[in-house]
Amino acid sequence: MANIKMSQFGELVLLIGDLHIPQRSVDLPDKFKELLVPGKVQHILCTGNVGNREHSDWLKSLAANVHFVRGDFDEGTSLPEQKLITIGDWKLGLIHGHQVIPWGDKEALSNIQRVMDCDLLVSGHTHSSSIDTYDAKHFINPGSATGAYSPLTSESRPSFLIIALQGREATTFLYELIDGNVSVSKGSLTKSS
Amino acid sequence: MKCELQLERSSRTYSSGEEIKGSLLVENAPNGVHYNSLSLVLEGYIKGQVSMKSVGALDEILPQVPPIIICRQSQIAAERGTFSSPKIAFPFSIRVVAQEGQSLLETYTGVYISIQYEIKASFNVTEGKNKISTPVPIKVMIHVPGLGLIEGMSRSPQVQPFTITPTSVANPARLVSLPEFRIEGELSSTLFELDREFSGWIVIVEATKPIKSIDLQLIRIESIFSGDTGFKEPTEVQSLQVADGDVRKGAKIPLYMLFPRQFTCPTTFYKKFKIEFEINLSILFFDGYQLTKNFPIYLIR
Amino acid sequence: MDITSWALRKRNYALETSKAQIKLSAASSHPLLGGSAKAIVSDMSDPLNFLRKEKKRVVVEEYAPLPKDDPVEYWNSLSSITSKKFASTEAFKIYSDADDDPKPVPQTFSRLELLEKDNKKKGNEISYLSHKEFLAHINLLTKEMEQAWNQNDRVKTLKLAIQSTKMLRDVQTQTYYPAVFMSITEMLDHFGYLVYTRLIAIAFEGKKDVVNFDSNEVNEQSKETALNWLLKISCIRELQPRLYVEMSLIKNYKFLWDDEHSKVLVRISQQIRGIGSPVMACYAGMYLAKQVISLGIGDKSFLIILLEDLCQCLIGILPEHYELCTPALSWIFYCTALSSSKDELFKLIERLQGVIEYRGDILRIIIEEYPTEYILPNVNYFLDLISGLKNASDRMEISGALAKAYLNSSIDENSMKIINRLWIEISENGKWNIKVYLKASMNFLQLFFKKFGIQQIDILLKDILSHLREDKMKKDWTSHVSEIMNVLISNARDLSMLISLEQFLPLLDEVTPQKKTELCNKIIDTFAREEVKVAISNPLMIHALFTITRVVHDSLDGAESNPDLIARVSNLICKFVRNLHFGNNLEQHLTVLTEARSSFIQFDEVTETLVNSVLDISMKAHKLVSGKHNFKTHAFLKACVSYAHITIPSIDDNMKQFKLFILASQVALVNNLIGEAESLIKTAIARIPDLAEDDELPQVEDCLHTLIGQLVLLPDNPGSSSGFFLPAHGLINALTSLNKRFERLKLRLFISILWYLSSQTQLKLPLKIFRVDSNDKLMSGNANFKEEQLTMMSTVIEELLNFVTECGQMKTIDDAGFEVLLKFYMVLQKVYVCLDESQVSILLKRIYDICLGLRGEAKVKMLRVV
Repeated sequence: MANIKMSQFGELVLLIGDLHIPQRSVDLPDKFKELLVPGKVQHILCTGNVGNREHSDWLKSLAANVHFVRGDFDEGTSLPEQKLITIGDWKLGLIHGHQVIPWGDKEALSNIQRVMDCDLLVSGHTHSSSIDTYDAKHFINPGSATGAYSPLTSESRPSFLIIALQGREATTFLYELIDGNVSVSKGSLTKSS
Repeated sequence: MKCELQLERSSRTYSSGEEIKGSLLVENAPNGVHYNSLSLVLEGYIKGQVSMKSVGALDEILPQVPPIIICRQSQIAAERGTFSSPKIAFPFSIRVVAQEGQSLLETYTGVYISIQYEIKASFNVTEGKNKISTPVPIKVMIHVPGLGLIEGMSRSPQVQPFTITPTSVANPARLVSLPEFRIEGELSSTLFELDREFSGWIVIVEATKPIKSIDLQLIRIESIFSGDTGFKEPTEVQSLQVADGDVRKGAKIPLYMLFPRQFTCPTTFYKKFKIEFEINLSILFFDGYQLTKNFPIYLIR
Repeated sequence: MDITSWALRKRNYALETSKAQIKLSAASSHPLLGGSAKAIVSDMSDPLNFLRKEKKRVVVEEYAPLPKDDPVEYWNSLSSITSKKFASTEAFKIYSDADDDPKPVPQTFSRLELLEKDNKKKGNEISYLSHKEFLAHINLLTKEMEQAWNQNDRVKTLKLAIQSTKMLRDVQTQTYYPAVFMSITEMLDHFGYLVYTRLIAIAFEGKKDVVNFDSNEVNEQSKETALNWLLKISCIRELQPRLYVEMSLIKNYKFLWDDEHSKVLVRISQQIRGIGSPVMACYAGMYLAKQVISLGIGDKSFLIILLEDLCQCLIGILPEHYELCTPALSWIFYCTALSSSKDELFKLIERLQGVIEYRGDILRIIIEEYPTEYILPNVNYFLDLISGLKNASDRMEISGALAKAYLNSSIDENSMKIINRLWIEISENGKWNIKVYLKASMNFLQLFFKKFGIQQIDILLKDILSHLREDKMKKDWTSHVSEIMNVLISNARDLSMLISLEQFLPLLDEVTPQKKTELCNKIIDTFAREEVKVAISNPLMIHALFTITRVVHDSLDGAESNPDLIARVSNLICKFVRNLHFGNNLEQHLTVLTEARSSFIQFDEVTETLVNSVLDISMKAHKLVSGKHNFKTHAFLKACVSYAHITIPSIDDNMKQFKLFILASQVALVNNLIGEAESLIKTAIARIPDLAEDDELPQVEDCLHTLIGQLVLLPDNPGSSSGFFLPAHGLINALTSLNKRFERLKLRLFISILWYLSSQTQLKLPLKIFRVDSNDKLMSGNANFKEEQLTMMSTVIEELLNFVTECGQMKTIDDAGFEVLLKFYMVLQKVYVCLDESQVSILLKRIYDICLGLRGEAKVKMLRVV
């Protein structure tokens, strides 16, 4: 069953981060936890600032390939600042995003994308999800999975993302918790040549 | 070659008049070798004996009484023949009956008197090196129903109640230090069947000093007469503690004992031999004072 | 470089963003669709569920009922409880048979007699054994016995069995008797097993698993062997060894007859009367009852006689001796109760009436061991019995037992009345023996937990407390009180409700300080394990938790040597702080946090959690008013931020301090507390030299970037006389004065600063905080501001250009340095223009060439793309 599902969507990558548990939030929304169970995705790219050990362990239990980068509130320097992950035809860059000034600035992000030489750059930090294409490259921010407060607002919407990679095509599924319900919206990207 | 006497009954216990059935078992018998006839004998005797323990003065007083054969039954269990298989059994059957002029007694091992029954076999194989040593004699236990009962005596039990108080104690020498006490009890009979238990009970109705132990002692009295001289010696068969410590006043404590096989037999008066039994009930107080009450009993089969 | 006049490229952040956005549509299907987690994933593979499972309370139920459904289990648990209860580590006296090599014994005479004489001779030696040593000794004896058995040495086997029973007789320290009994009967059981299985093998030609058979099914040889064993043991001189060995071989009688067992059992039960010590007699009876159970004999009338005898012995004995007897009595009554009818129970009570008058506790045991179906429907009968008793302790004990009987039955109005009556019985008699009162009330507490509400518990606790206070003698009951506390904590379904009870804390005060700490630890531990999502908001509960947590906290004073303990406790306190929840009453929350700050001063982690919490409620306030603060909420926010500002410095760890200052400044800024935000940022920047000193600067570099990102939004004061960009100035100064080894770090941060500066004079910033006016709005058209911005830019660029020059002379370069070159190139290219375009191009070309020279074509290709 699981295999059929995978082939239906392609290689599945979960993008998630900025949980800030327990500093800024108690736990993930229950509805997210019901969705996020082991064996659903093959890869996880975590933008950092998970908070505690328990939850990074939990992420590690969900998929075989789990990648973390260092957020500004992560302790120590054991996690890398940025990471390049190749899945199929896609080169995915991963960075927390506090280094991007102004936060979320497309030009600044684009610079990082160029240095990393990736097709798609995943970053967080702003606690606000977004999927952009800029200079023919793709930029995804999965937001905060717990809806933790950010330096900009107390009203951050819990969200995470899944990208399904099939050849040069990618489908993005944005999961958001809106008024207590999970809303999923879909978009598509094509890898530029 | 192995040669062994075997009995069918594993208890090796037989009553008078019964047939003792068994066989002589030969293993690894040399094929084709001849054997002479197999003869068996059941022999029973009563004799006075000097125990290891009585070496010394007693030895001299002990009257010299020759053993009396009370039973001798012999038979030929097999005629001459030739071994045809390596394993062979020669069955036999001997009836337990008394020698003429004697009567059967029960097997008994005492200190000075012993009554034993034995089956011996003689079996000769004479060819070459295959000489068989005589098989080991085998002891049997003989029971003689009705033995011990004196004429006119009733089998039905007669309860023997007793009371012990300081006044009933026959030892006035230590009267001064005697505690106040009243002990009651009974033996369920004056005569006991050997294959039933000795029974009764004892109650400490009252005692001003704590009791340390109550013991039941089975005593045998062996007497041997020779002409005008005689010899009579009581010895302990066994002693059982029936109370350990200061028992509750009023508690009916059972007196219970099984008569040990072989070391007891029916009360016996036979020619120059006499075997009698007694029970000693002793109450030991913590301060060391000891009361003993003696009860002669008859043992019957 | 002689470029002196830099200019900025105009950016339209909003347009850039909107152009970049990908269009999204509602998804009808998605990869996580299909089956809820529950349906797909088993508990084991769901790590979160698994975690929760593991955390489930594993409380050792010290007061839980024993497993009485199965006699074997009941025996085993009695055995382990008894051994634990009555055997301490202290050594006890026991006669020993030190030298017991088998001696050659003449064949004919009773070997046993001789053996006994041997033992007597050595009986004078007394050795002292600890319980552990004793167990080892018994183990050794058992092994030796097994060995003898395997070598067909039956005499030695029997001798060893007898020897073990003699130890039972020779225990000089009475309190050890129950524990010794348990071990020795285990060895005897083994002896009985060896003999019995051999008999079965003889009787059934090697079969071992024959369980049910009649005596006429077995052969003569097995009968003879069985009888021989019995005859052999019948001449053991001493009473107790003879009885115990016979009891251990009770199954031998199965080979002799089918229906005369009861004769033997009656006889043995009567022979037990001969054991003068009531304790020893009770335990002999206990073993007999056990053997009867294993024989499967239905008729237990002789057990009644046995009980009558035993109980008679118990009338006058010392309480501590009686206490030793109770496990044995419980077991015998339990055995009697098996397959007993209701009528038999009442007959038994009638027969024991005379004893019960003196030892009412026997009635307690009866109530506990007989089925509640026999007890409860006739509860009035028992109430009458209770009122007939003179001894207050007995009345309490029995009432407690009756209360326990209600644990597993439904409660109707009538039983409510009775339970009430029972409680009154206890309450009124409590003053006579406070310990018994406390013991009995434990039963009531358990019952109340199961059947009634928490408020009724409070009523009980109130009664208990008033008894304790009335007890002027202050006898040694504190251990009982802590047992009560244990019962409370183990039984409470909702611990937070329990500790919120009015009487809970006062009761807690009645135990010793050491016990109190222990109990508080237990409470907090339980709390932590429950993974409390329950909001802690009830003021009583908070007060209780505070008190309890403080006890734990204070107990660690000067316990630096135990980092594990400290970690655990501080963890617990953090959990407690995090679970505080007051809904919208955030002011109260702040009050509690303030109280917590003054209570828990020892641990960095706790302080950190307090700061996080205060920032958390600040953001909650922000959310509550949707960012539109009024006078009141503004004041509240100021209080929160000032709490953070005051508290953070008490953390020992500079790095943690720094990070929290940054976070606090963010919270302050979001809440429009610009002055506070700036002040926090300044405080943070002032920490930089300290961090550099501790070599912790690389660890906070991320936060410094964040800080620079924060500056983008931090407004300057348009009317300021002391100039603009004050925090940035401070930062640049701090970085410039750093040791050379932080050079790369400084340059990286300078590039961030360039990005920051580039945003400050744009028409509109890409980010906006609700109701906070940033510099795009405030400084629009402010020439001084713009000038200062350019000056600062030049300074920063100057530093970077120096680095470029440096690089031009290098043959190789480190990765970090190379990265700085790339980033500098890109920021110039993207954002900055020069009044003279060609000058920029020349500069870029130069950096490019240096990069190319240092690392080669492949490493610089991204610079060409644009």
